[in-house]
Amino acid sequence: MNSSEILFIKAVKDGIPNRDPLNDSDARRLFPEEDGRISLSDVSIKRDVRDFVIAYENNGGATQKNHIFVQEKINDKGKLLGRGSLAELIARSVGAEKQAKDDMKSVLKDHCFDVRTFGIVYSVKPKFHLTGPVQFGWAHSLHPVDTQYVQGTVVMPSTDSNDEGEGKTQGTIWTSYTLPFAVFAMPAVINAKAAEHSGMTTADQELLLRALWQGTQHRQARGRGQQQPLILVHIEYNDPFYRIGYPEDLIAMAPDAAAWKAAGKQPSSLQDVVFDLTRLLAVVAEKREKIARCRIWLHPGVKISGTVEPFVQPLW
Amino acid sequence: MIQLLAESIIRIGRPIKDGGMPCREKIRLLTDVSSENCKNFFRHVFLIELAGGDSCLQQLELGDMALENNKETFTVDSQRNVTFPIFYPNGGNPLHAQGIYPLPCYLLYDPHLKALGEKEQFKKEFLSPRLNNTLQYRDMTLSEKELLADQVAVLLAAQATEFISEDKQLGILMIYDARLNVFQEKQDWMGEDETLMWINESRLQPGRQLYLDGEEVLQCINQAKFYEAAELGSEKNAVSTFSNQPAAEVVSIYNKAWLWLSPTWDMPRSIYWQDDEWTKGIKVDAESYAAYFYGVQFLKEIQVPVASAVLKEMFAPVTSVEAKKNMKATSFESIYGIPLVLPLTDGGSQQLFANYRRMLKKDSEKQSNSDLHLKVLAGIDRVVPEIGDEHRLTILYYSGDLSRGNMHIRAVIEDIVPSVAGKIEQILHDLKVSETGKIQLAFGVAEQAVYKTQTLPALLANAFGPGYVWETLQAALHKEPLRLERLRLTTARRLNELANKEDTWQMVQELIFYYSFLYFLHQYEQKILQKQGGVMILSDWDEFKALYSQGRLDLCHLASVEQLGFTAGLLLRQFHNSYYQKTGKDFVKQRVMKFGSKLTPAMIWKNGLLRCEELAQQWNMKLGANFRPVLAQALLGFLAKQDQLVPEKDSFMTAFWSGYLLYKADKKNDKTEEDGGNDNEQQ
Repeated sequence: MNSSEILFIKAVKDGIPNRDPLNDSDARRLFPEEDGRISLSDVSIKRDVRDFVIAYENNGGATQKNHIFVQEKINDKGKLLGRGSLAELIARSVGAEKQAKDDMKSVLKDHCFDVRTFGIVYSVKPKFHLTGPVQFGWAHSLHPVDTQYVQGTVVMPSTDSNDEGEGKTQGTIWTSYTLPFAVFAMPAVINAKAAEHSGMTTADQELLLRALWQGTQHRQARGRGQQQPLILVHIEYNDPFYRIGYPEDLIAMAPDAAAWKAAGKQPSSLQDVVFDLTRLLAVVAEKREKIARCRIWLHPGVKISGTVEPFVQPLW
Repeated sequence: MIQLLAESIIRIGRPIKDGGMPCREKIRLLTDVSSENCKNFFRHVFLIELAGGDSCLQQLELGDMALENNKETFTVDSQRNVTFPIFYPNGGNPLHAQGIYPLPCYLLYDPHLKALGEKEQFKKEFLSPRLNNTLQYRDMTLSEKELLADQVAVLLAAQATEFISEDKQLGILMIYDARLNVFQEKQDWMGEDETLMWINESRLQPGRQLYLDGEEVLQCINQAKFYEAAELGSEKNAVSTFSNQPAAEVVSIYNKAWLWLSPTWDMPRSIYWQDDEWTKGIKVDAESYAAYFYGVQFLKEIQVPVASAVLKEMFAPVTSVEAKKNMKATSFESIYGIPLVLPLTDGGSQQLFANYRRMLKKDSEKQSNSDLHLKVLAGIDRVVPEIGDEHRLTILYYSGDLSRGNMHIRAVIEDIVPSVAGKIEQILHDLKVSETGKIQLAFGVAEQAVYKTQTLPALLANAFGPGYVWETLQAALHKEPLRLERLRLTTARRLNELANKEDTWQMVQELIFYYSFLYFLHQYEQKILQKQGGVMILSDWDEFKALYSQGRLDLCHLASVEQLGFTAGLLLRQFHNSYYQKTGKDFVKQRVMKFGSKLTPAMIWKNGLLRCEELAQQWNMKLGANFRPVLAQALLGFLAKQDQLVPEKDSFMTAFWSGYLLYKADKKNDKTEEDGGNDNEQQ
C-alpha cells in the first residue's frame, strides 16, 4: 500500500467532544488565552474508529481479521479484562491459542484491525511493541471557541422516598460545560514502511476511512455533542518517502477568526461557514507526479469554495 | 521531567541531611513516629532485652490517655517516640514483612498480638520474615537468626500474653540485642544527650540504662532505604545519574516503598527491561539516594492542600454568576501544593538548611517583610523564609492519592524569581489594604474584604476563567504580560446576566472586582514589567468625571471605545435620574433594553442616547447644563467609532456599566447653570 496523508474535518454541536479531565470538564485548551481555540486528542478519534469497527465487524467479521484489541471488555465476574486476557480472548476466538503462547504478536497482527493500523505496546510477557502506520495528530478547532456553563434538573430523585415521606423527594441539578458549535481539523499520516511491519493492508485503509466517517456519526452522546464528519481528504503518494505535510494549514474556513471577532459572534452552524480547499488542491496539482490518488468525501451540507468535483467520492 | 524533579528533591534533601539538624529531629523526619496513624502503636511497646544468653521482656506505654471531647485519646510521648523508629507501610498487606528494617523494631498489628501465644506460628509468620529483612542481621547466618527467633518467641509466648486483651490492640516490638552497634548500655544516666536516646532501664542489669545510638540509627535507615531501592535494580561500579561520578553501587530511584516516583504503573520503564532493571533509566548513588530520601520526607511534611474556598474561586465557572453561586466548595478535587526552594548554584547549604527548618516549623505568619506568603501567591498556606534572588522557587501542584502512587501533576511553576514574587505579594497586599476600600467607596458601598482578590490564583481565575488558571499564574510569576480581553469578556457577561436580573448590588461587586484587577494589572505592568501607561484604573476616571460634570468632555477625550462607553454610562444614568423623577420608571429597563435581550452598544446608542432629546422635550425634563454638550460629543463619538462597537463590545459594556453605576450628580456645577435642575437628579 501507498504512504498517504489524511485530513479529517468534523463539527460538533452542543457538547464538548474531548473534555479536560483535570479542570472541571471544561474543554481542553492547548492554546493560550488570546487564541481561544480548543483541541481534541488523537485518542478520542481512535476510540471512535475502534468502536465503529467493533460494531461493524462483529466479533472480528467474517474473515476474523478485524477484532479490536483495545476495548473495554468485562468478564463473567463483572471485572474489566486486562491486556493479557484480552489478547488471549482474541486468540481463543480465532482458534490460535497454541500459536499465541509462543507468538502473540503474529496472532494479534493477523486478527486485530487496530493492532495493524494504530500499532501496539504489548506489555505482557513475552513483550513486544509495534509502531502503527497510522498516526493522528491533535485536532484543533478552526476558530476560537467559548464554552458555556449550563444547568438543568433531573426529575428522578436519586433514592426512593420511604413511608414516612423522608428521603429524597426531589430530583437533582446537573451542571455541564457545553459549546454551541465548533469545527475541528485533524491531520494523520499513513506510513507505508510501517505498514509492511504491521501487516496493514489496503482493505484496512479503506475500513479506516469508513470508520473515521461513520464512527464519528456512530458516537453520539449529549456530553460529547452531536458530531458530524464534514470533509475527509485522503492523498496517496507514489513515493513512500514523500508527503505534502501539514495539510490542515492548507485549508481555510471563511469567515476567518478576525471576521468573527469583528462581527462579535462565533459560528453557530454549518450554514455559517464555507471551507476553502483551493490551496490544498493547488498543491495536489503541483505535486501530481508524486501523488497516486487524491480522494475527498464531503457532507452534503458543507459549502466548499474551490473545484473539488473530480476528487469527490460517494459516501458510505 | 522525572529526573529533573528527582534532582530538585536531592538538592533540597542534601542541606537537610548535612545540616546541623539534631539526630532526633532527623529520625522524626525520616520515620513515621510522629504520624497520626501510628500513635496507638505506642500503647503497647514490647522491649526484649538480650544480652549473652539472658533475656527478659518489659512492656511500656509511651504516652498518656487524655479525655478530649468526651472521647479518650492516646497522646504519645513526643520525646521518647523517636527511640522506636518505625515505618508505617503504604499499601500492600501490613501483616506481612515489608521492605528492609534498619533495626529490630517492628510494628505489631492486632492479629500479631493475638498470635503471641502460638510461638511456632508467631515465629514463622512474624519473626523470621522480619529478622531476615533486618539490616542489622544481614550478616548473621540462618541458624543464628533461627535461634534468635526461638528465644524471642518463647519469651513473648510466656509473658506477653498476659498483656493481651479482647480489644483491638496495636503495638511495637523492639529487640534490644546487645550485640548490635545501634544499642548502647551505660552505667550513668546520660540525660538529654544529642545522639544517645534513652530506651529504658535495663531489667537484666538493674540500674544500668539502655540507649539507642541516633547517628547509627540514621545510617542504618539510609542504608536500609538504599537496599530497598536496589530491589528494582542495582549495578556495581556505575556512573550515578546525579553526581556524574562512578560509584561502587548504584540503585534505581523508583521504589514501591516510596510515595514519590513509586512505580505502581510501568510507565517510565521500557517494556524491554526486566522487573529489576530500572537502573537502565535512572541510577542513583548511595549519598544522593540518602539526600533524596531526606528531600522526599521534607516535601511530604511541607505539602499543603489548597483551601477548598480558594479552589472554588479557581475552578468555578466565571462567565455565569448563577452557576458559580451554585458550586459547592466541596465539589472540587483536592489539589496539593508543594513549594521547592533551590539555590541557583550549589553551596550556602547552611543558610538553605536554616530556611528549610523554618518551613518545617510550619509558621503561618510572616516573620519579616521579605518572607513570601504562598497563601497569597499560590493559594497554599506556607511561608517561605526570606530568600535572595540567587534562589529560585518552584511550586508543584498535584491531585490524587500519593500513597497509591496515583499522582496527577496539575502544574509545575518553575524558576520563580523571589523578588518578583515578593513584588506581586506587595501589590496584592496594597490592593487589599488600601485600594479595595477606595474602589468600594467610589461605588458607594461599605468597605469590606473581597475574597476573590486576596490570592493570586483566585484573582487570575476570576478574571480569565478556570481553563487559564495555571497558564496565567505561570505568566504572572514569570514576568510575562497579562492580557485584558478575557477579563472584559467575563466581566461583560456577568454584568449582562445581572443587569437582566436588575441585581445592581451584585453588579457593583463585579465592578469592584474588575477595578481591583485593573489596579493589580496597572501595578504589575509598572513595577514588574517596567511599562508606563497601559490600563486605565478607577482613579483615572476621576478627571474624566470632573470634565463630564462641567460639560467640558470633548471628542478628543473619547479616543477609545472604553471612554465612549464610560461617557455613555454617565449620560444614561444622568438622564435616567431625571426620567425617573418625571415618570417613576426605569429608563434603561423600559426604553433601552428590549425584553429578554442582552444590552448591546448599539441599543445604548440608538434606543438610549439618540432618544434622550426627544423624550426630554416630551416630558419637559430639566437636565443638568452639562448634559447636552456632552451628549452631542458622545453622539459624534458613536459615529466615529461605530465599526469598533461590535468587536470591542465587552470593553464598551464594562465601561458603560462602570459609568452608569459610578455617576453622581455634581451639585456645585449644576447650580451655576441657567437651566440647572439639580434636584431632579435624585432617585
